[in-house]
Amino acid sequence: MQIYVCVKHVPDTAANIKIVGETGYNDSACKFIANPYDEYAIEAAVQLVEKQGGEAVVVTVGPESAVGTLRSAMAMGAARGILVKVDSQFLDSDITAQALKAAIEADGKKADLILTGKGSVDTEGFQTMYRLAGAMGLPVVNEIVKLDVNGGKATVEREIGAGSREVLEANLPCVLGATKGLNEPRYPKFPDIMKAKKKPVDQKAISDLGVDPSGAKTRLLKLEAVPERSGAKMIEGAPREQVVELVRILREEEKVL
Amino acid sequence: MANIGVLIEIEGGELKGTNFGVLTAAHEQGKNDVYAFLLGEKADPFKDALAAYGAEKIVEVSAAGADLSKNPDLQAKALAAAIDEYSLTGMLGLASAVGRDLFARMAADLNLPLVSDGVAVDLDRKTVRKSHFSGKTFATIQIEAGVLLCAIRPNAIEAKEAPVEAEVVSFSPSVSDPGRVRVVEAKMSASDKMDLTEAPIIITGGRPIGSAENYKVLEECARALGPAAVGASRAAVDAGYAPHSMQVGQTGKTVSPKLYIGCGLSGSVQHFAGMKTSKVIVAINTDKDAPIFEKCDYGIIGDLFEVMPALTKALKES
Amino acid sequence: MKYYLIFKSILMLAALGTAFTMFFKKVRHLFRLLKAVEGESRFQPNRIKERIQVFFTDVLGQTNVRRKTLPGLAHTLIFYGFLAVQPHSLELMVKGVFPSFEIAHAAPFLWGAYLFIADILAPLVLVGFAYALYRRTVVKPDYLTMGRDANLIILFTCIIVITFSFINAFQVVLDTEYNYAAVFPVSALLARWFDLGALSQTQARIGFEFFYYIHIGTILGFLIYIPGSKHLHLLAAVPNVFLKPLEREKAMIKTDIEDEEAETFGLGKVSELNWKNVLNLYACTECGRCEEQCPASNTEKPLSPKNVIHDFKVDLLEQAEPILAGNTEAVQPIMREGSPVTDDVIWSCTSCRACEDICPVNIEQLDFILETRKHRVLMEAAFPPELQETFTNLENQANPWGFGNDTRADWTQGMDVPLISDHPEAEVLWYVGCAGSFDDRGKKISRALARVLQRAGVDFAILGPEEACNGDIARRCGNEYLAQMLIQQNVEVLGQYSPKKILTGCPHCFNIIKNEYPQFGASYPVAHYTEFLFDLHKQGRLVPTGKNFGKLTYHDSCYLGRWNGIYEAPRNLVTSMNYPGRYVEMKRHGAKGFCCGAGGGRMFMEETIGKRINTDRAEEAAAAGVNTVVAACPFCATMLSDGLMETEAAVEVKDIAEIIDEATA
Repeated sequence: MQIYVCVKHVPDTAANIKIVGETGYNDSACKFIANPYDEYAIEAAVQLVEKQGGEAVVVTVGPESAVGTLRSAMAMGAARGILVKVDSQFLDSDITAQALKAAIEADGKKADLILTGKGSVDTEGFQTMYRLAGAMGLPVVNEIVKLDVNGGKATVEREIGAGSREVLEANLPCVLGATKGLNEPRYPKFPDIMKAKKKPVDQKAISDLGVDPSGAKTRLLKLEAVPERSGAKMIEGAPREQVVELVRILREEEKVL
Repeated sequence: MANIGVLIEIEGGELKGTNFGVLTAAHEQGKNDVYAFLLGEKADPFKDALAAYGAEKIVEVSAAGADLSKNPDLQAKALAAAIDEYSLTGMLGLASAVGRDLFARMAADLNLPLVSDGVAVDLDRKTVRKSHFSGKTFATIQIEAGVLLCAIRPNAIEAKEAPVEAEVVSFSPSVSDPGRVRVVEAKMSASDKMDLTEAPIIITGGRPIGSAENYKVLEECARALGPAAVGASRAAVDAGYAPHSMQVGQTGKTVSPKLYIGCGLSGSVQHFAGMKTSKVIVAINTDKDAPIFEKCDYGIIGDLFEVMPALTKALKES
Repeated sequence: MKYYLIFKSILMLAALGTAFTMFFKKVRHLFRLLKAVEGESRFQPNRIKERIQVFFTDVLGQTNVRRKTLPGLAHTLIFYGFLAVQPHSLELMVKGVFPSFEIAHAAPFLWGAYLFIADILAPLVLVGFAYALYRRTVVKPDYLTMGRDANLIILFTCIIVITFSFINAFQVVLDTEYNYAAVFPVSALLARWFDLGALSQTQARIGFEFFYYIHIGTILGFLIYIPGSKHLHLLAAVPNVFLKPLEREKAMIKTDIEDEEAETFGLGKVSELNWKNVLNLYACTECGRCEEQCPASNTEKPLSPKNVIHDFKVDLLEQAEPILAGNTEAVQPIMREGSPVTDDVIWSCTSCRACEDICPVNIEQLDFILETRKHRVLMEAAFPPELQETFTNLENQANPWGFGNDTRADWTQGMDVPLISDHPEAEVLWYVGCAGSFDDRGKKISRALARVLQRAGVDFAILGPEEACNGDIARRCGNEYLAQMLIQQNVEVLGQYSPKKILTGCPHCFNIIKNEYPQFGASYPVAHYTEFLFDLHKQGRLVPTGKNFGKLTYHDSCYLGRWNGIYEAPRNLVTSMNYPGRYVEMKRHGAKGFCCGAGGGRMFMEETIGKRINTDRAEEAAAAGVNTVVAACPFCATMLSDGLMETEAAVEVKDIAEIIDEATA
């Protein structure tokens, strides 16, 4: 089975984003990691390869430093990596999808399955997998929490609100977006970390793949910190008095009840 | 004056309350004509409610010669056809599990830009505000295309009544099924619990809740509050007190209710990333120095097992 | 008679030859095994003079054993009594082969004096054993197990000393050139008591010979039996004690993770033990003192340090064949199907070092446990699942909780605490640590300590976001790779500033920077704040105002106490800051202080088996009837607070820094 796993090199979710200018941020102050949702995809791919044989190849579109994310995916068991180099952290999801498609096709092997995370924790677009599938003419299901690949078909489950789930089928090859619950991404063994440092990474510029990064249909106008609250108004008194006052405030002042 | 579409979501035969905020966003104080789209549903039961929030046209969408249900690709294609049919310059919906999926399919199909999980939208300027970096920043995105597609975070935009006369029409485009994805089964949850992302009020219990059973203290209060859902912090989920589907926070659900009551939460960055766009945040904690008090609107120092039953009682009495 | 003597000579020659050959072969096997294992020992055969002193104090002086008074006394009696009969027994053996051999001929007075002492000491062995038997049958502590092995040995030893006395008693009544009645005070009494004087010379000779054969037979049996039994300790304990670590402070083993030739890391198979480990295994006599102290064993966890040593020894002896053949491929992993050493066993350890501290023969149990963890993590990625997030957080944000590391100095807001980058000439670099920087409880302690330092006029600075976790958690959780990454990061930063003195708030930071950073080329003077502040107090820079805190007790941090021998400074501070109040000790304190349950990375693991360690400790604190229990470690403070919350006792937990802050405000 030939599996491509699309991953993104993103700032750690704990990193503080220091905004620079109108639309930039200080990325040198952030630790970058593999997008957490993509780790479920890597784990799923590695498990499938372990069971059914084949190869898991990890693909990313990002800056040179994204090799670090490819290495961590390879430490988890991916065989090799492909990096499509771009300069900007913010890339329109349509361009990213085109770059991914071109990179997978240029790899020369027929993809049986393309996996990725349900979305990235930096730009939170939740759409690249749909665009990739659309461009390649493949079925797509996102936010899957269960995956079964058998007889040329993928059976998946996705959550659709308060504990309800939908079971879907799609013929292979298809594009699937993984989310928490699908599996527990493994912690790599030390020898695998060392081996991953020697696994091949194919690096190419986005322009070499014939993709024009300037054709985006979205533009980032402004990036701003979500305003923090300045501190709570403390409601004093015995529990009984506190709750009566709280109900009054919520009803009369805030009007949320 | 522009024509703006809104995808209306029906759950269990009823309109989701979160639809109205989306209608309000589309209506923009009467600037636009709002088309409310119902996928494979009859408009009658919902007509009055939709009209009360400014939906002038209610469109019953079906597919000529095909069954829309259980086929997200087909649904997306039918909606895409509606954009053309009604010369829409914007299509809005909910960033629910269903909405996020349909809007992304539609965007890929039409090769149009999409903003998923928007919290504010300006249809005139074609800009959308959305969260970036897991809730730490807001990004304002300019859409450079003829049609704006946006799935809006439930409850992010406050619903305002704008009564109009509504007309019901039917639209049945002939769309071909690409036959890629089939829904083979829906496993509906047995409980009538409200989905966290849709709930207008959320009460969350952190690790001090101590056991799965103790959540009933919060559930009782949720019942007294009206439509409300109960959530859990990551620590409580990790301790096995609650399922992951109840988790609020960066690795759980992102919510934006009008009232968020956090019981026994310390106030980690990761938790706040998932709820800080809530309108009013109330925290209850025994530790007066808990960081959550620095980041919420109202604070009560006290034991949740004393405060919450008292709150339930006070709500029932008043 | 002549024929009998010839017969006896031949018999004895054969018996001695056989027994000693068997003994020699068994010991040679054990010695070869000790040399065949592949692990590298860090041991340096240095400081011989001190080691000779150790031999006198620990071996001959029996000081270690006697840290438990009565059992220690019993052991001393057995030790000396048993030792005392040996020269005599040797003479008897030689005499059996060469009837005319008589040491007394060469040195009558000296030999007589020796016999006199031996005759008194030998029966005291029985007193010792009587007490040992009493403990095993009446007192019955859980940690003392009574097996076939132990019973046989007691029986053997008793027979040896009883027959010794009887041989001597018969000797007294036999006609010889010497007056044995004078050199055998106890045996002469025995002879009189049994009225042996009434026997004919032939009868007496027969009696003598009878006990002689039992005596020698038992000794030879003993000789053959020892090397295969737990009483191998008779042979191995002395060298093990002689070669013991002379320093209390110790560093975890630095694994060369950059060694590309290495096929495995940590301890996965018994063939990877080093010779010192093996000597440790041989030296254990399963006295169970480690188990008695172990916080895990005391709270129904599956870990007993005694069993760990026993199980490793059994595994080693069982797999001796492939190890001796150099066929390590064939050696089975330690944690295989059915092995008594399980994940629950090795992950229950809090690395509190109570076992190592109490061990009378200086076994280093932690080396076995922590190196096995290392193997599990590095080679198998097998560890309690909750640690994965801790590892990831340490990797990404250099702290175990995953807070953004750039907010590390946020706790100082409004306090005017300088960063070292702004104030590189500071006298003291305060390495705050993760708990002190991010944990809510820890931050309060840090703020108190900062106020105290400012009050005392200390010129200090902190690293702020340049600081990374010290590596203790990762290292003790077996993640040597991650630990070395963090240590290297800190070593580089410290190298930039070359601080004159490093002050730490947390004993874990203190221990690793002091004892383990030198492995990475970073040696700086390091002080835990308790020692540092006590000095300031002595200099009159921290004067208490007379605040009465009521009744206080101090909970020893393992990493201050047993790892670094700091017991006095914290106590002195607590008592002098609370001079109008009172100070009491908990039952388990000082070197026998009971762990809070957080060490060895346990802070970041779930504790689901048995009673919670912090609850056990909190109950003890509550029972001490104090208002406040004082800690000197942010992790102890958190664990005790959590434990006390459960016991619902009205006991507060305060850090010493908070006590000083309030006392000097």
